[in-house]
Amino acid sequence: MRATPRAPARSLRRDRRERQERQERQERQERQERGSVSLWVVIFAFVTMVLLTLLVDGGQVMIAKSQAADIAEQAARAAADDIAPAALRNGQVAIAGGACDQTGPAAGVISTYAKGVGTDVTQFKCLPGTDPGGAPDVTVTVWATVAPAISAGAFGQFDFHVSETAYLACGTATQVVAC
Amino acid sequence: MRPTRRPAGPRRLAPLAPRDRGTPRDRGTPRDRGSMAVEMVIAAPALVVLLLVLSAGGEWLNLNGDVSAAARDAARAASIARSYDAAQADARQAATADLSDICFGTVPPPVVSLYSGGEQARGPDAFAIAQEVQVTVSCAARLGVFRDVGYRANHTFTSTAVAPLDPFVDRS
Repeated sequence: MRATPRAPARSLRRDRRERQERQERQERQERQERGSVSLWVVIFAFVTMVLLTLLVDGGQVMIAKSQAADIAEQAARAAADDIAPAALRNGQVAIAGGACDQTGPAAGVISTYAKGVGTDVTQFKCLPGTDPGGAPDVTVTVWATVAPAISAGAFGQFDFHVSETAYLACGTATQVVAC
Repeated sequence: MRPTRRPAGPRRLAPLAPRDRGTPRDRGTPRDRGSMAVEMVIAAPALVVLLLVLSAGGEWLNLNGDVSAAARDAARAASIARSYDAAQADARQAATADLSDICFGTVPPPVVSLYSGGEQARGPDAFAIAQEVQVTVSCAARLGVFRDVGYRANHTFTSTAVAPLDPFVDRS
């Protein structure tokens, strides 16, 4: 009976070396992977917090802008409501001279508004005029500032200004006529 | 031709150390094995909470805007009323119309205050001569993103708006 030819010894040694190398490679890879999830979580948390700041503070600015627009709109309406009675008795509809004064109705609305909202109006400009249709109008511009909701966020104090116009409409609720 | 006989080597390899045995998948330092999966199990709830906080921020913003808009509508409704009682009722109706789907329970009655040139007018009797009406609307709303994971997170939103009172309207 002939002996079965055995695998060469050199080949077996090579197999064993390759196996050891493969094992070392795997161990090295596992050591590199350890803690990678923790790092990923830290990075994810940081990015999420930045996004949260952008979302909340950016949204806060949008809300403040709409509040400032309402302040300007109501102040313009208050000034446009201040019709001069003397002129009215002569058949003329005109906005009173003091409608845009610092003690007038527009200023009154702005100072009342300042008591309840987080949007601070730093200054305002009230300008009577005439709209393209010929009706008297008042344009109020307010400069406002808003503090960020997340104070440690990327935003500092945000300053902006908004303009709104109100015009006089004469007639009744159902029928508007030229003033 | 007969195969050349190589020099006789060891008949059998020396037994491997226990850590060398098995398939490549089973090998490796036992301390490291599965560490990523364990970390992931611990980190997953934290990641979910972070995403919920982000969503809650957006929801908070949206609800804040809704309550501000309701306050503006309520102030405008109060400003065209002919009496203080009617102003309160109109403000409540306007606020309820805006917030009934957002707040849970009934919408609290808005607080209606009267001002003249930035100074608070004295009592409801001043409605005939006041120049501005201030309305404060409050609403307790649930943050829905937390409700989805079984946690009830409520927040009371408050907003204030002002509208001028028409000086040529006869009010009592």
